[in-house]
Amino acid sequence: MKSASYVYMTESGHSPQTDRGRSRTLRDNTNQMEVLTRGTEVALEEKSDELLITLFQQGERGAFRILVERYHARIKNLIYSIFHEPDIIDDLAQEVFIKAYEALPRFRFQSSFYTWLYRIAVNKSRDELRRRKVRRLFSLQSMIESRDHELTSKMVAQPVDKEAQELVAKALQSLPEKFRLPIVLKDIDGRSYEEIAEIMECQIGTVKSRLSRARGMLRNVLKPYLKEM
Amino acid sequence: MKTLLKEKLLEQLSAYVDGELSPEEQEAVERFLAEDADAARQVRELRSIKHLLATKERLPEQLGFWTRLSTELDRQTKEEENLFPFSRRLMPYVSAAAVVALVAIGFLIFERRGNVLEYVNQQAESVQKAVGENLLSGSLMPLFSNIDRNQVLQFALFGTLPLDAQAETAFRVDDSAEKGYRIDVGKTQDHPAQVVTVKDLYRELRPSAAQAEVIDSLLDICRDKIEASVFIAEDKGMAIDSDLPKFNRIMLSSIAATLEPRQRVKFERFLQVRNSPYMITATNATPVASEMIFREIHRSPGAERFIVVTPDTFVFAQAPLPRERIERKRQDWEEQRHEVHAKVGVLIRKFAEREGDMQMSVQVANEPVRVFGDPGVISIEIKRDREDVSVPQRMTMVRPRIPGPGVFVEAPRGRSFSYRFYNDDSMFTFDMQVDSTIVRMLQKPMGPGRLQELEQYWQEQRVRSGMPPDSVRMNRIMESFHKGVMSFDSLMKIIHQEELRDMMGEGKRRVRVRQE
Repeated sequence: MKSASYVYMTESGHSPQTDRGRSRTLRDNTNQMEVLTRGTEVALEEKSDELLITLFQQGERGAFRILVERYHARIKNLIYSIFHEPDIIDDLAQEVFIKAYEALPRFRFQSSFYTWLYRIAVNKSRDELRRRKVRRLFSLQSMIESRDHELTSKMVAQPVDKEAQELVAKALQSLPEKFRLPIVLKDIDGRSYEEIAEIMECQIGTVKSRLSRARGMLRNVLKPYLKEM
Repeated sequence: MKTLLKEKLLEQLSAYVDGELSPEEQEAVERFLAEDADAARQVRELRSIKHLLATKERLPEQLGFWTRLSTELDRQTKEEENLFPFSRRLMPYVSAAAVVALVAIGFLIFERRGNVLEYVNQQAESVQKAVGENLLSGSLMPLFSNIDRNQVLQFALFGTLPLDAQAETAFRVDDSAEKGYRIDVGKTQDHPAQVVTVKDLYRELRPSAAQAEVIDSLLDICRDKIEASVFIAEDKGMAIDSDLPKFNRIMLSSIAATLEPRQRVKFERFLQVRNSPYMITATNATPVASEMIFREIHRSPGAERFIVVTPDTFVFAQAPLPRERIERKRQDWEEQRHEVHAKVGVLIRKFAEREGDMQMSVQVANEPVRVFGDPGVISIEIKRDREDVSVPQRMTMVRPRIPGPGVFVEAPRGRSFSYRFYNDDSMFTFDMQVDSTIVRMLQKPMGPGRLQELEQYWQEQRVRSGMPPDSVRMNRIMESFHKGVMSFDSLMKIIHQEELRDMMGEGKRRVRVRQE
């Protein structure tokens, strides 16, 4: 804690104690920080997650911005892989970061920030998946249709052809939540078994068996395509 | 390796593709793959899948996420700062359910912004003023005077006393609630006052002359107690002895203690056929000497503390009433009987006018009392710890009647929940309707859109409160409804209970519902 304060003070030339409380809103804080760290912003952005969290916990709300910018794309891609619905990504990602903002003052560095943030995202996604499942089960009126939106317009062109992309997305959507989450974390996001276990709060053995079963299911769905490859 | 089950094999191959095997395991898999063409083919398939997923399209980098997020965070921060006159660390107390509730209490908070203590003090002052101006200026009138033994017996059995000749309005106490009492003053629609006479009781019990004398005396003592326990201060307020609600149980146990075991069985039957909310449990105990009974009844309950409620303040205060002065005025009241009923009517209307969809109480002393007015009824709920409800040993003879199978085993909770903000040195309690929508829907006739409306409402509540619904349980409930084994009202009751359970964050509450 002490070293973090020291770094901040030497870089900004101001004591956090005197700066804190000058303005109350987050954006104001951010602006304030930008002023204070002008010329050193690049250096600040290179700081570790841990240092940024420490600054945040000491009252420097602007440090949160760097964390958001560092991770929001990954979180959004994670959510996109789980839901395959561009419409909800921003909202869900926003919920994840709001939750993180509220909980960060109590962050105890027992896991990496990245894993912790992913856990929040995974839990939010689970809630959303369950909510939809129940809504489908319950609604006597119009069911929530599976949303096959026009995805391609918003996507960046990838080397693999469009048909394969659609097929993969649909195959993923067909997986139950407990199999979909580890496969997304492993094959799309490149997390290790250990990290996945930590994010999903389960045993490594469970991750291993779920991944294997998820692949078994995916193989059945993608079989026609696999033969062609 | 060949002995591995197919599933286990796939698991090992999957981990191999992921590069998550130990060097020894990896070597073993590779040896196996060299020998087994099918396994090798599986590995190729797994790699293809992995490749397909790894090359899955990514979202393009979008700018502006931080701008939107910070705007939202600012908005939330500002809302919290504006809305609550409490510090942000109190927010954990604002449960998910509060999101729903906030809409209802929003205006109240705005109205009551500022120092909570100041508000409490103001209200307490208003009550004191009401006591000072009305209760001491001679306009205090007992709600009951000159009641007869039949009415006292009726009070002992059912906790009700008629307020008018036609028994359309009544005073009712109910101590069957788990933690406290409830007093209703007003219309008798839901709980019609039952007529029972001492003659009926004696016909059933056939007491000896000595027993009848004791019972008559008990009824007289109880009459005095009732007459000195409920007062109205014109149409401005009401004062009720906070011990009155347990007095009917004391009465019943005292009567039961006078009786022989054989008579006590008859007494229990007498209560049962008349649907008394109480039952006599110890039917084989020997009779208690009359001196003991009288000694105990005079000793209990203890100190006289009055709950004073006024529609202007909607709060309660405990005030000692000048009993001697009240006693001296007894004669005057006899002449004012007709006035009392008129005043009660006005008072009830005033309470009802003040009552919206929410109730509010402020905990001044250590005994929360909730006052609310339904149309035509003033209700006062007094919450107490079990220890406070301590009664003479003998009172264990009388218990709230256990309902038969087919009704709610646990008394359904009130249609409100208590909602508290804690400040450094004060506490503010809001009690409010959480299911006013359900209540409103119940009042509507059953139509094709109603179920849909209910489901939608139920969904929204959960989405809004961020609680994942328990799909399995609710599906089962809905299924019973669709199969026609459950009435709509039962369904509503269950949903109501589920909702409260979720909102209160309590553990599983099992309810048994009549199968209709």
